[in-house]
Amino acid sequence: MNRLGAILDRLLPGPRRPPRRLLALDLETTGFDPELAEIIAIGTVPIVDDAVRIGATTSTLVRPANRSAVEGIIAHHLRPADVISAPVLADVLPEVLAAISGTDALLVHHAALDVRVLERACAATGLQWPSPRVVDTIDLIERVRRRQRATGSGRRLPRDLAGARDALGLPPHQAHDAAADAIATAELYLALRVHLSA
Amino acid sequence: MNRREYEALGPEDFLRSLPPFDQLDEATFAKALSALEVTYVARGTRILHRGGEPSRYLNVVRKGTALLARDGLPVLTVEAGEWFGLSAVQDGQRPEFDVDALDDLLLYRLPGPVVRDLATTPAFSQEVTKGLVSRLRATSRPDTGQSAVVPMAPVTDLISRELVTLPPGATVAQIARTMRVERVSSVVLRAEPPAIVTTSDLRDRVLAEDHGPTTPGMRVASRPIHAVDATTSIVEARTTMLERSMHHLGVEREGELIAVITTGDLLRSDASSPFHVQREIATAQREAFGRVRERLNATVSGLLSAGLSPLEITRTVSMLTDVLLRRAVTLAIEALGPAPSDFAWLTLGSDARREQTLLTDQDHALVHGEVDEEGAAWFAAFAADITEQLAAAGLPHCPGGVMATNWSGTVATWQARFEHWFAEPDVRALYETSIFFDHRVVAGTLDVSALDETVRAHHDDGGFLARFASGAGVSRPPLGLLHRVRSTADGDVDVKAGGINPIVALARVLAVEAGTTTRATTDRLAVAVDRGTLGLDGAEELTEAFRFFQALRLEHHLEAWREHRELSNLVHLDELTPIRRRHLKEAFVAVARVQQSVIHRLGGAEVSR
Repeated sequence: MNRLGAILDRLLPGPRRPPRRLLALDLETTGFDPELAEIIAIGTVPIVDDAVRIGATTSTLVRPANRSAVEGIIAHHLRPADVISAPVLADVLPEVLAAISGTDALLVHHAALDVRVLERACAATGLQWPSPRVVDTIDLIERVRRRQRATGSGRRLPRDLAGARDALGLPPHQAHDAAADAIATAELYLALRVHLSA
Repeated sequence: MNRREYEALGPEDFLRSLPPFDQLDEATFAKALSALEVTYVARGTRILHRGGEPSRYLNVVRKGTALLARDGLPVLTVEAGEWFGLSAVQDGQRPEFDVDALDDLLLYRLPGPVVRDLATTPAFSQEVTKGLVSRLRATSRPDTGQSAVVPMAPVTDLISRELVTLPPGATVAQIARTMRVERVSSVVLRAEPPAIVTTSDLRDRVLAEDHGPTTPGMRVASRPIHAVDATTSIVEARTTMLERSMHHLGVEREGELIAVITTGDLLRSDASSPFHVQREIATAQREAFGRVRERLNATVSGLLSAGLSPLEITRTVSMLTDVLLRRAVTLAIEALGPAPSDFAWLTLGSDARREQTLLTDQDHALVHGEVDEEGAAWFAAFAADITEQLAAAGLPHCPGGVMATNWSGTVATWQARFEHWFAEPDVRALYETSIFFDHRVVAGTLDVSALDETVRAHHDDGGFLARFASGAGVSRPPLGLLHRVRSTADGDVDVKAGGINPIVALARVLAVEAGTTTRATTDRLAVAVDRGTLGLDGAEELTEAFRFFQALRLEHHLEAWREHRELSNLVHLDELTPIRRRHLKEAFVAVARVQQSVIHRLGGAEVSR
């Protein structure tokens, strides 16, 4: 995308041109409160020209600062010992931020949680949050739902990752694994794009 | 839909579960995975154009259906776990088909350079370079489990001792003493070529013939000694001995006789061996017939896990069924007294072709000489007794009544029946009677070759062949729109009705046309190739499809038997792996294609369902 295109994209209202390069990202956290949750795993996978590059998938465990938060991880199929021996956020984050900076947009399912947690993580480690363009699959789902309401079509597309995938006929995925969730989000994004342009 | 599609498998696990990716070593698979991409294609998109840009990717369908078409005609659907674009990527050729997305497609794709690297691995080369035939061939062998170690081992593993020999001038007394000292049942005489004397030779050719102890051994010896090479597998050696009813088999290394193995050696190597069962059946009394079926199934189960090919197994099943039938005939004659005339007991259909799996009805008929009323009553009682004995052994009555109790008569009666059938105008009825054209004499001494002569006389009867060919189209592969496999509401497919029967019927038509009396389906196809009435490609596809279907049935029957379920020819599509579903579909498509072309060539017409 050229510079002018980028500027126009930011200035013009309405749905923007889809970015050429995205980084799908999923966080596993100790809770669902964006002001308290701590990161325990980060998974990413890039999408370039509408193809998910499985070979470039990354997956990192993170040791939370608050030891007592480790109890929360039971739901993530991780053992407390795994995260306790994992690297700390300050060692992991720079690479993730570099990857975010090097892409056209960050792709997240339910950005309100993950992006806020990442911003807090940056603040806590003294790193600069790159303020990327963010594409949220929830927003795309909402667009589908608005269209469904408008056309009075039957069942609404669910908002959760597994439910939305299932409704669009995508195969089940291994939920609560950061890398698998990132890939699942990337696939959902491609399916939603096709759905919305139909 | 496939069950695997609904398992929570990520791209890595899904790809790893698919043959031949499951056979790649870690490093090769990791390299492929690093290049893997996921794309999503909207319904209605044309992915490849026939004659257009070469495919840059191998596309594995994860979800949805793609359609391969040529000149606007659908050729094949590609569903989850199947792929397209492989050969195009490999040699950079222009696509041979248009490929369209019938639904939204989730595709896993591998770029060309990676695929070309994969194509050099042994696991892949077969998929890439060969067609349907070799792919079916690769899968129709059942998985070889651990038990394969023993039967696939070379026959030399059975050799427990050195060859016991004597000079060619040895007398039968010297031979007998050597047997006693060495505790062996045969002695080899070092003549050129070597000769063998067995304990039964001493009984049958010496004692029973009133020869004395000084009789030269060479006079009662057998030669040449039937031998196999030392590299022969135990399985092959066993088959050789079974087929020739031999109890001793020589083993050669570089043309030199090194040992003699016996049925006893084989028995010790494998407790569930067909020899055991054969001997058990051959000496069974009526009360023991109830156990026969169970023993037979256990044997087949053993052979399957031992790695025997499906056609070898069905041959063994038929062989054991023959032993059972002959035993039943012997017991019936013991009960009823001697037969009033020569007779021939005919086994029909799959058993006659030696293509018997476990699901076995009785299909048989009786031919006898001219007899009076009393003689006819004897044969009626004879047929009834045998039918009951077989039922007691677990072979249910033929639901269509094709049994000697209903079907008997003199050679002349049978010839008249055959002639009547040749003139049958209703192709469906003609198809029903064709079971009688596949007959084999299992017991009795009456010469029934006149029946085959009657059939042979019609090999150039165009009107008959056209109707016969039409009848072969009564059973056809369950393919629906766009060559999708059509299943019942429960997701079942009848492998026999849709796969085996059409192939068997076609082969039978081709055999009658060729004037051959060969019964085995695969042999009949080979004869047709020889005569130029069937293309080599078509014959190979049918042969491998036949093996594939038979393997599927056998495994299915055995599983049902082990789980005490009723045996059936219905295969649940969900229970097949994606690769097997693909092979099933491709095999059905191949059968349908050859079927149409043969029926068409012989001037037959399509029969409505």
